[in-house]
Amino acid sequence: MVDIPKVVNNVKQMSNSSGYLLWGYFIFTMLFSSGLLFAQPDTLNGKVFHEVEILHKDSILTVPQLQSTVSGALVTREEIERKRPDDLGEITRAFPGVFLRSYGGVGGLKTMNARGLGSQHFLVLTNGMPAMFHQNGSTNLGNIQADFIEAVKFSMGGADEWGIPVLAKTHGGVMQVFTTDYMFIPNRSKVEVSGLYGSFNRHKWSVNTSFSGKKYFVSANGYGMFFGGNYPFSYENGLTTIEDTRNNNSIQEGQIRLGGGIAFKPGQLLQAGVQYYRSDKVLPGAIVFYQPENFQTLLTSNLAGNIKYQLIRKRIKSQNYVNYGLQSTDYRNPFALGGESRERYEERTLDVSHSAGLELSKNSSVNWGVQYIYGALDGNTDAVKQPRRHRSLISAGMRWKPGKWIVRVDLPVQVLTERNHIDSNWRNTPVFTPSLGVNYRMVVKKSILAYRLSLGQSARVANFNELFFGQIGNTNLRPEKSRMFNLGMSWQSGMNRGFSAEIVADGFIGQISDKIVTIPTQNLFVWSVRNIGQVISYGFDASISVSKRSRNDRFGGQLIQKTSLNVSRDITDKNTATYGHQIPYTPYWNYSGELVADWKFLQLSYEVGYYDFRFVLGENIAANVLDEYWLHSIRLSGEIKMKRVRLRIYGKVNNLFDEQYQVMRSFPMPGRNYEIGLKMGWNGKS
Amino acid sequence: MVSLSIRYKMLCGGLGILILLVVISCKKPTDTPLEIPESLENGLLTINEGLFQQNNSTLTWYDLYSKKVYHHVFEQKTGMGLGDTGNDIALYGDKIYVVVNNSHTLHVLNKRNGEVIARLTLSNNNSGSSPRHIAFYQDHAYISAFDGSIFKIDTTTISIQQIAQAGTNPDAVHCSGDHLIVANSGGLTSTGDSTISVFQLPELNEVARIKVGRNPGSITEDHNGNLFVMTRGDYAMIPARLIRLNLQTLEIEAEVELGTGAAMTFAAGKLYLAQYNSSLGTSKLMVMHPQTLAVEQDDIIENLSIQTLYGIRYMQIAGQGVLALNDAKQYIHQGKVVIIDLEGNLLFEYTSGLNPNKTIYIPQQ
Repeated sequence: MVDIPKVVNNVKQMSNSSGYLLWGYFIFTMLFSSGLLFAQPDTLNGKVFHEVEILHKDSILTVPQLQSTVSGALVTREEIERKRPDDLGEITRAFPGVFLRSYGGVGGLKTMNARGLGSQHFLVLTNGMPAMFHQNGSTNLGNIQADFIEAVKFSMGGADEWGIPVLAKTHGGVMQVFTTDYMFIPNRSKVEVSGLYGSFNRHKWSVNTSFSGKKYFVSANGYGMFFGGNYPFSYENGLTTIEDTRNNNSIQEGQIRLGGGIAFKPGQLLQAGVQYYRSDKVLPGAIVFYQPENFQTLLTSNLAGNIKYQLIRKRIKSQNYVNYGLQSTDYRNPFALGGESRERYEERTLDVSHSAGLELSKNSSVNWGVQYIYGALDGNTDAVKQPRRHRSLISAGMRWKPGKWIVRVDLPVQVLTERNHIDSNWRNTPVFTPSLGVNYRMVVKKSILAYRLSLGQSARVANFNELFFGQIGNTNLRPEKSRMFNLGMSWQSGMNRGFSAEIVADGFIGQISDKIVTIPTQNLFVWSVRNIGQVISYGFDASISVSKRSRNDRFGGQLIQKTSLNVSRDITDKNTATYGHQIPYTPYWNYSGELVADWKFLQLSYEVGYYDFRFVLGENIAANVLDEYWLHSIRLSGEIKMKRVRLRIYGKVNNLFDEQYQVMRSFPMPGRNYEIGLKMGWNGKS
Repeated sequence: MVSLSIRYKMLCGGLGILILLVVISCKKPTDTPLEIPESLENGLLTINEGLFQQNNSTLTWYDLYSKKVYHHVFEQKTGMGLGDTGNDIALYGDKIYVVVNNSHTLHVLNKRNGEVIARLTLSNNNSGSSPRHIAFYQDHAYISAFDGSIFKIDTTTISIQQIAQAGTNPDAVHCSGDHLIVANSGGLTSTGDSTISVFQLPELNEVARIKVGRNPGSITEDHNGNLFVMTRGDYAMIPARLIRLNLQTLEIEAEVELGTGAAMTFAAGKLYLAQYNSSLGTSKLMVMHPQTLAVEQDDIIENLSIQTLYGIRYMQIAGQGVLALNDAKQYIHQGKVVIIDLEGNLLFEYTSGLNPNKTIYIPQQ
């Protein structure tokens, strides 16, 4: 909570920081804007309004933002085309309140956190199926390239769709990724070829094809990338600025995805997909003073296949899938102390899910789901201990829609059963993560206003490394739990003379308990994993978007502003030096703004992002501060359409002002860099 | 409508004040200008390990005359950072030697003013060696390194003269007469090592390897020429033990189980053993008789608020024998240095950097 004496003291010392004025202005704008809306009368009359475009309009998978009971945001293909992000990690920057932890540029490890929740509280669903790794519990967002992503929907506080697997209802946040190869649009075919060249010797090409008839579709896509990776940077060694080059950062990676489906009866769709991913990268590690850079390599291959069956009838909807994944990693350190080390791991996952919903009446429905996940890890070192996990989940829920209201209740329960080859006893862990959501919508003149409220519990379970690995593992770990309350509003104007606007704001407060942390226990070389720590987290996320198009539709402009405040304080023990301090790697403020202008076939966009200072350790002292940074980027693209052929050329400059910064201490990020690309596509009717 | 407007204004006002309070409480801490000690004389110098891959090892100077604490002394004196995971510090002759493990570096400083005389990279076959501890014999320093190397450094030219091989992950080193004793910890392996190596000096030839027990660490010697080695076990099933060896015969004469162990020193005819129990999060300082290995006092610091006893060093300040204890607290906070007399009475204490490892006394010139 706010430490009043400290605040009073800080008031006295308050600096004339221009950053605060900026935030103050933004907050004032938010309050003023929402106030205008509060003053409007409720005139809901059933009109159809312009809402955020949602993929799979007829699908059971998505809920329009304005009907959602949880906070979230959507990134569409249009935005991805405009920003040309490298991967899913870069896409998450578009979500207010999300802080991307990046350990390098292209190909570096990327994970996310938000609202005081670490990366393992967030689940990535690819086409409704979890991308899951039992060994470390989180997904490297840098491994999911943006080329084939059609849309990404982010929900904080769990997803409130009934059609998603139960696992998604147990997490603090869900990122739903929809890829082009899994989309069925009857009688449409396309072939797209794209390539790019960028700074630091980066080449990439991709092919994306799909052919569909009235009742079937097949798709194939793939990409290949080579990244030389050596980039210059500067950093502070003590009081001295050092100019250096980050070497040993090269990557070669590629992916092939095949998909297909048959709509064999009305409302029934059977889909199947298979993908193979392989990357070979050099890991430069942290920049350590006076030490030559590391040269360690990581070879990763991932083979996955799935079959999915979807049924949509008038009153009943059902989604079922079987998903199998096999991931192999081969980590090699030729300069390990005591000689070359090589660690190989193989992880297997089987995931079977059924979820369904039944409309009881016009205003009410019930839903249920069951899911079973099997995970196994093997390796060439004794420290792995060959763990196995059976995860059984079941959920029941209801939706009630009386008039303008939507009330949602979800009651998921999961039981984890785990053991390794050393300990023959199975370890059973039950986890209950109920959630409640309310949405109230009203129409105000030509706009629509929605309020939402959610209260839910989520849990992140210990991963295999935390439970079992070597001496570090601790089989007594409990799941890390979070309770989060969210109150938010969305307002969306109707299109009026080419003008439209949207405001989204959410405030939250929550508590995280039994935090799973790895700490030194005997000395700095002997660590173990413990349930230590409680955190209270509060703040808000807000965004404003306005756009205007000319009458003849030849000119257009859009302004997007997003900001978030996240205060996450350690409240574990009053007797420690970190009590009441902001937890590590949690910036107070994030801000991003984007200005987009288009004229005929040209589009220009300018984006600026501000990322507040962070603490690298729990003690909020100057020695632990990692400085704030600003990132600017500019993009210009042009698109030419000739009947069914589309040619798009773009160029962009990232980090325009060559900011030298680190997201994680000792991992310097690239300075100014460039990229040019070309994409040619053919669309046709089959 | 009017009442709605008033409520709205009150709501906005309340929210605005709340947000303002939050904004102000999120102020960035800034560095206050640090004072720089003019000389390093008559004071205590502490090496703080920092945390792995954080480049935040530091030196803290405590001026015994002015009672002032100076942080980041190395950075202030040299304009550069000390490096990553500083492990050992020693005064020998008119130089101060600082061993920095993950930077694979030896910094050599001028004792009087703390300025850098030389910096040496300790590597073997073009790979960093991860140096750990340093000991001295005649005109040479001997440094153990986790890659198995023992470096022989000329203290005049500050150059590597010879590299020998010990066991797995050498840790503590101790010079006794013309022998160098090396604890082969095996600490970075799953199976560990259980031996100490004995090197003949100045040739640096290994003349014996003695099995003493899992994970040998701290080494000290009493006034009768007995060598004491603390084996730290596996921190789980295998307990820590104290081994006494005869330096002449190189045979184990006695041993006793300790449960847990961190470090030890010999002072005024007694052994002082620092113990840290990670399960309970408590530390104690045990006093043992070096001949009988009987516990004379189980804990002489029970009245002191020391959480993680991370290092211990005996020194004489103004003719009084004292113990410098380093408290690493929870390994993620600034630690502290606690100076006690040999009965465990607190003399004074001060805040150090992150994970203080070792404190040395630098006398008046």
